[in-house]
Amino acid sequence: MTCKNTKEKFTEYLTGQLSNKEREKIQAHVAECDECRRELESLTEIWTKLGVLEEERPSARLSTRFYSMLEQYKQAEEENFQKARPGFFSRLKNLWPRKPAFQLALALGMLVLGLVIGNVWRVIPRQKAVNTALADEVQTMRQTLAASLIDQDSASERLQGVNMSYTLVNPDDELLDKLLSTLNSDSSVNVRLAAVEALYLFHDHPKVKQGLIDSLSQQSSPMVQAALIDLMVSIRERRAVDALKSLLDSEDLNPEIKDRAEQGIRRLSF
Amino acid sequence: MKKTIKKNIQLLGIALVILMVGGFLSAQDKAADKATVPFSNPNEPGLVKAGVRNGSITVTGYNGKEVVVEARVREKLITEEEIERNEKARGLKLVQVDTTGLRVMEDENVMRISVSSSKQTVDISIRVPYATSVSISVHENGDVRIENVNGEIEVSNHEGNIDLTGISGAVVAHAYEGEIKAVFKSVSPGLPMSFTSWQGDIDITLPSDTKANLKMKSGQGEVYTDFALQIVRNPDEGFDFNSDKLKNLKRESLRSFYYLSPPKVPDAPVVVSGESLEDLAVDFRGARGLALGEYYDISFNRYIYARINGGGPVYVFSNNEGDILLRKAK
Repeated sequence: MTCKNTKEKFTEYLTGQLSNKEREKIQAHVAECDECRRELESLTEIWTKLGVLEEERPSARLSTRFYSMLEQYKQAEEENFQKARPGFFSRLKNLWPRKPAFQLALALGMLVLGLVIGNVWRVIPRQKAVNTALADEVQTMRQTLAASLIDQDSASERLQGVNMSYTLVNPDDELLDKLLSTLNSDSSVNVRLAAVEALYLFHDHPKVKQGLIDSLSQQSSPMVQAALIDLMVSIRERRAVDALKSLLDSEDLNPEIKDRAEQGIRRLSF
Repeated sequence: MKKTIKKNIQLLGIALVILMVGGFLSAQDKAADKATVPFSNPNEPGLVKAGVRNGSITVTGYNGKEVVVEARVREKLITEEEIERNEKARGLKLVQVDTTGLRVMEDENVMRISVSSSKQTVDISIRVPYATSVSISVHENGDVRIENVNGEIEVSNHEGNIDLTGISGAVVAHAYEGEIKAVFKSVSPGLPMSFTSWQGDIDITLPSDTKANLKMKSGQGEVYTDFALQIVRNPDEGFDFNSDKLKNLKRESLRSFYYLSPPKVPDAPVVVSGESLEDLAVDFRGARGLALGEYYDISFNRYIYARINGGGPVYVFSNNEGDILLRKAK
């Protein structure tokens, strides 16, 4: 394997999309080639950091700086204007250069100033757009990464995927579906609990709300049941009362969960 | 004379048979179903998934390449209660079947270990190469013990305890009734962990230089530690939370008065001066709640958030009863 086609495979290597054979090839190459190893290490580091990365926002500093500059400029102009007020027109007339060469220079100067200001005005929104696009891209990347981690065999990685979804602003339907199915059928109680917390953040989404209510009847672990009841009470979801009532009818219900569900019903109907 | 000798020999023969049967029986108590299975790719760390409904599982890392599984039926001790319950069986001996129905399947470095019997209690012991990930589940009648394993560990035990020692890697553990104890040699950087129990203590020893963001919640117990905690008031900082979203939610939850806890006994009359509106609201709601005979222990997402050694991946510790003990390895 050459350095070039090894490097091309790095992304797939990191997302775990490679077959064992291909992984081995890359590992073998990396073991021998210092440069590729360094690159893979730094990529891995970036990949890991992505999870804990602060959300990229359109730089507030840039626009603040521009607006303060503009403010200063405006103030200066205003001051000039104030100063110029007494006998404004006569002064203006005085300012007008006598020599045609200077007149031309002044006109050109004004033109340049106009162009500069015009361009700055155009650049600022574009810069904002670029930053927003970047933030969107990071969101999309995270979403994809979260979704692919949730599918993993290892509970730690699934947990990482669910944790990563905490940072998303508007996860797409696919990810929400994944979180809901994790909540109902993940083999690990720990991962299911993490899913409750993730879905809590997106509870205003109608699909999520309904999914959370429906999930009450599907949980066997008291820990997850308790977390769901607490969540319903916390978001004051009155529609959950029926689900809580039918939970009370289920056999083998943990006595503490029974208490909690009854308390929840009281509070939600209050 | 001859007759006597013959008789003696006969007796000796009978005695021998009895001895052999006895020996056979007692040996059977200890005999185990045993299997030694290699991974299909022994040079890469494998994954062992083992589950038993009724029994215990012990996993030990060893300096070898194969997985050695031993399963044995635990001798059933007949209690007085059981004898009373089954009066007809008085004076008779219980006949126990002693095959476990052990099943070991290997496919692409994933080894699945199970037993067919759920009526008998089966103790499984598994020896694995040091670098192996494990996923273990037990439902009743035994503990899960894992020693000297370096990998990702997923473990659940409904009734018994979980005891992890000398482990390296990342752990996701849930015990319903039992306690979780884990002593780490080292942790995987970057991987999150989670320890949850309904009724048991959670007692975890981490290397003193572990970098982590801790999320801890004990419903009725306490949290103890000798780590220097850097308490985080706004958990969105570095806790992988979408800050705006969480802030909005917090405000929203505060509006619904179940968020508050523990119950605040209101002084009567409530002192207003120098207090923020929010505090006042707390008192008001507290008073209202007490008047209704309510107790505010319901709240969602009420964790203690803290960093150790500057922070790292998120470790969750959560139980309902029992304490949380987080220790520094000495």
